[in-house]
Amino acid sequence: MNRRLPWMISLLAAMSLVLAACGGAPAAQPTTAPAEPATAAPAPTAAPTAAPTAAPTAAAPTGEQITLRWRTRPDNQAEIDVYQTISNDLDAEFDNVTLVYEPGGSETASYQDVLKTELSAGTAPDVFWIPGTDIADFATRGLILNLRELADADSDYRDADFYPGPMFHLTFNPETGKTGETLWGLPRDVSTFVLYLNLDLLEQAGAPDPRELAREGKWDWDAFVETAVAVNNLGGDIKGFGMNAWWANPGLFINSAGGSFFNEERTACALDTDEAVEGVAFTSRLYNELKVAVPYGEDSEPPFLAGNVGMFLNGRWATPGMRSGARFNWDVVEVPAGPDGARSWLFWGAYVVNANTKHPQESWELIRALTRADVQGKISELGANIPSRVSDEAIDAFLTFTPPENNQAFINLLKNDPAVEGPLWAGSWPEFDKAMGDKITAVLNGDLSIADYRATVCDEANLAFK
Amino acid sequence: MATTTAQRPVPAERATLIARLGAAWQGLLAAGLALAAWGMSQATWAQRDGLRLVAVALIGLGALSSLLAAGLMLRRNRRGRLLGLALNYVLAIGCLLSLLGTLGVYTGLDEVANRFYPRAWLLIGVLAGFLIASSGDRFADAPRVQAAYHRTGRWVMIGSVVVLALSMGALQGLVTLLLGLRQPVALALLAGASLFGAAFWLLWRPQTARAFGAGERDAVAISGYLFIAPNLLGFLLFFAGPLLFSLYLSFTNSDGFRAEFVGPRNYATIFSLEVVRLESSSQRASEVLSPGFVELNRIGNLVIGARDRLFWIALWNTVVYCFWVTILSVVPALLIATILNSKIPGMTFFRAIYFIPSIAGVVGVAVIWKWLYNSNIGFLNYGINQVLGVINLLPGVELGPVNIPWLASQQTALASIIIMAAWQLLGFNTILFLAGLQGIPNDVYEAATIDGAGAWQRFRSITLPLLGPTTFFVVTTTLITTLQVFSEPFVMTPPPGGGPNNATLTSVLYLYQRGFNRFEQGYAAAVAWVLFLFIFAVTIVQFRMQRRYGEM
Repeated sequence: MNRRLPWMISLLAAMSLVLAACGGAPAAQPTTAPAEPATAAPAPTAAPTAAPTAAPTAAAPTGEQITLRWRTRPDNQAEIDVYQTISNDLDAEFDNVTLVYEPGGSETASYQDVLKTELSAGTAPDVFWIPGTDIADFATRGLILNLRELADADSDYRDADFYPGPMFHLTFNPETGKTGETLWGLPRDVSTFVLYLNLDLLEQAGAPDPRELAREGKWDWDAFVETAVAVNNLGGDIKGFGMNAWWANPGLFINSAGGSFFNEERTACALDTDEAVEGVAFTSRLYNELKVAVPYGEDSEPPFLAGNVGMFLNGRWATPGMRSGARFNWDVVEVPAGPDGARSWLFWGAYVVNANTKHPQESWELIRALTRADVQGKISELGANIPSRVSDEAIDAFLTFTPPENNQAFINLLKNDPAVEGPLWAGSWPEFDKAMGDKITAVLNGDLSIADYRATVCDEANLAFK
Repeated sequence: MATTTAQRPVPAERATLIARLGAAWQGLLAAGLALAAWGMSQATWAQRDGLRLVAVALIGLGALSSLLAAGLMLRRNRRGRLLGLALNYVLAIGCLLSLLGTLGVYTGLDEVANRFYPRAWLLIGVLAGFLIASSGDRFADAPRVQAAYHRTGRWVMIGSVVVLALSMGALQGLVTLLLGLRQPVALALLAGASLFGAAFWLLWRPQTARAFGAGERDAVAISGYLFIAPNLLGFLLFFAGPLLFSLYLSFTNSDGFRAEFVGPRNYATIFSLEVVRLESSSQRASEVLSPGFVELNRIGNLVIGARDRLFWIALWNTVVYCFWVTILSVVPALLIATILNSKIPGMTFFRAIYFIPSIAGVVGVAVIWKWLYNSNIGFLNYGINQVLGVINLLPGVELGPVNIPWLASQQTALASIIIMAAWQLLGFNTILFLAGLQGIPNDVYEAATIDGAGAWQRFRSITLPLLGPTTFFVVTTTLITTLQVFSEPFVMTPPPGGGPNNATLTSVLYLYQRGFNRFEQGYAAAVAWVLFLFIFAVTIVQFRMQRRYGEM
């Protein structure tokens, strides 16, 4: 056999792959010139004053076929499927726009870290979702577009269509310190914390039904403790309560005690106030004195799903997992009322537009479409979240998405002045979160006394502020 | 590829002309590169000043090298030709790679992978063709039959590749490629690649070599460098380049999007420590420490403060982790290897068993161990409680159930990760020791046995000394691996990893958190370089110890 033949075949195959790669780059190869990118081009040399803005005139010329990539952080395949379906449906609605949906995040790759790397490399999608706490970081670095001009030019758009809490931060202008002046994105969804209940365990423990207590206005910290202790007394591996090691969980008790992470201006640490410390002390009691909780730092969801935990604190996003994984009777109830009432969190995340997108107008239209009532309804039906639009229709539809039967608990908490998850415009949220998380973990693991916590918690946390 | 000098010499006039042409080209190139460097130094690259500086420096270096090559060529110095060859080669490859980038080949590779997977079966045709063509070799005595086989095999192979290429969209790619070449940048890059490629070939050909008086040695050297060029370029582009760039980053406040030079500030922050005496043990450290410092540790009334407390905690955790994992994965590995080295039936099976954890992915193993360690539903606590249950059957014994929060407690989290990591490294180290043991000649043991040495004496006086190089290799690689630990605490503890309360925060995890969670890539780069120096120092110490050990 000719010895050159394998070489020729290999060369042919390599050339074919290169050629195939030339034809296979969907977004990197616009066949026509980008539409008037000058107004949308990033000039983020000095954040936040140079945060890029998008002019409404940047639409693609008629007939130009463009590709828009968009990304969310789905938790499971079911969620990926729903987003893909939505992407396909919207793709059919949009003229001259091809939508490419990219599910992001995995067990080992943090969604935000991958996104930041792609933004740095210039390969990030045109539209992406980020959690509410990240808005400040992305906006002040000029990574996302200020959509205000596009919104003002859109006669159908109103800020007031969405819950005011997220919109406060999404329209915050860090330069002037005023809200309502910018638009960094639109909220995809909202959620509140509730307690997921293992009704079988509660019944077995002879504990009163928390849902009944909540209806009677008796569901407070004392009742919560009694219930947790009763379940815990079943013995063995059974625990009364569980929550994950995440800032929002101990934060809930801080809020319910009337405390807060920050001072009112959000410019300094307020974790050492009497109210905030009371919240942490109450939480510590569950872990160290009563020992009714799954150790702080361990994922409480698997033991809950295994039927070993009476009450599990989590948001709406845990519902799909409960629907598919729980093999017992379960439901949800409002978080218990502390000294300041039943103050849950209002969690939210937003669709934002990449500052480097070549198609700001189309991207704006995409996030407008993604936050339409009917689209939010499809996602809510999956069970993972609550529509971000202030609309009775949206709420009525949400209430029908069962289980859980007591969907009203989410809505009640939404109306009860929840603490809004928010970015830290005057400092570094990851740095604050790290300092706070370490101290609270030490308290809940019994390695730091409440007195020492109060004395030291703000020392390092205050370094997070500029 | 090697040129030969056993050919007639080039006439002097022609040689001079070649040298002058070569010098003129290199001079032109130097001028072009200098112009490019100047232009780039004037341009504004939003937030990319560091990269711009690096690019200007590299292009400037190219211009100077080209000028030097021109000067040497004018004197018909063979080194000028070598330098010219290197420059033109690098520029031709650079243009070609940039052209591929401009045409979107790199971003399209993901799509190629997606398309290739479902069509990979078409490659069976290539295999079939190869087999057909190879079968023809059996008919050496019938040339026509043999040729028919070869021809058929060749066309089956080519046909399969063509079908595969077409089904993967190569035709569409060809159209895109040709359309892409209409872009001025792509055209310029194509012209550059062709021009530099042609210049390289003209400088390389034997006639030019002879004109510069290049000998066989030069030809061999050029061939050698051409062979290693792909690897060398890859090393420079993807390893040495980023390494040096990270050194530059460590002197900036880069957040990944913009960078300002801040001098050694990041290093100063890392190493800023102060020791202050408290008036009483109840006094708060923040009252006596300078602003920006937080308490790192306390010895009696002495408080050690640090600007970056977490760096020191991470370094300490890393050292503890490294120490224990090395001990737990090296000593047992030696013992297991000694056992596996015996000629007992079934040893091959056990060797495979011990090696399995090493070939499993760290992340997968970490996820499994995370579940094993779960205090509520994990098998570890379950197993312990089952054992306790059996012990409780003994009269008078009543041990309560345990509920150890392995990964959630500050006291046990690092130890839990150490156990897992040692378990995973054990098998690989065992195999290395086993290879070392099998390299020790049997007659040494036989002589020692005849001299009356017992098993322990043979192990201590023969096995251990003769295993010295293997032990050194095992310890060094284990140390370096463990000092870079990242995945285990990242996967096994809640985001962002390193908990509870920094008990499992390691240096690499910390630099990752600073670089990616907190947008502080400049600072993270500084942490990386400090860690590099630390590992380097540890390795140097080990080498010295090994040398001394070897001389004994």
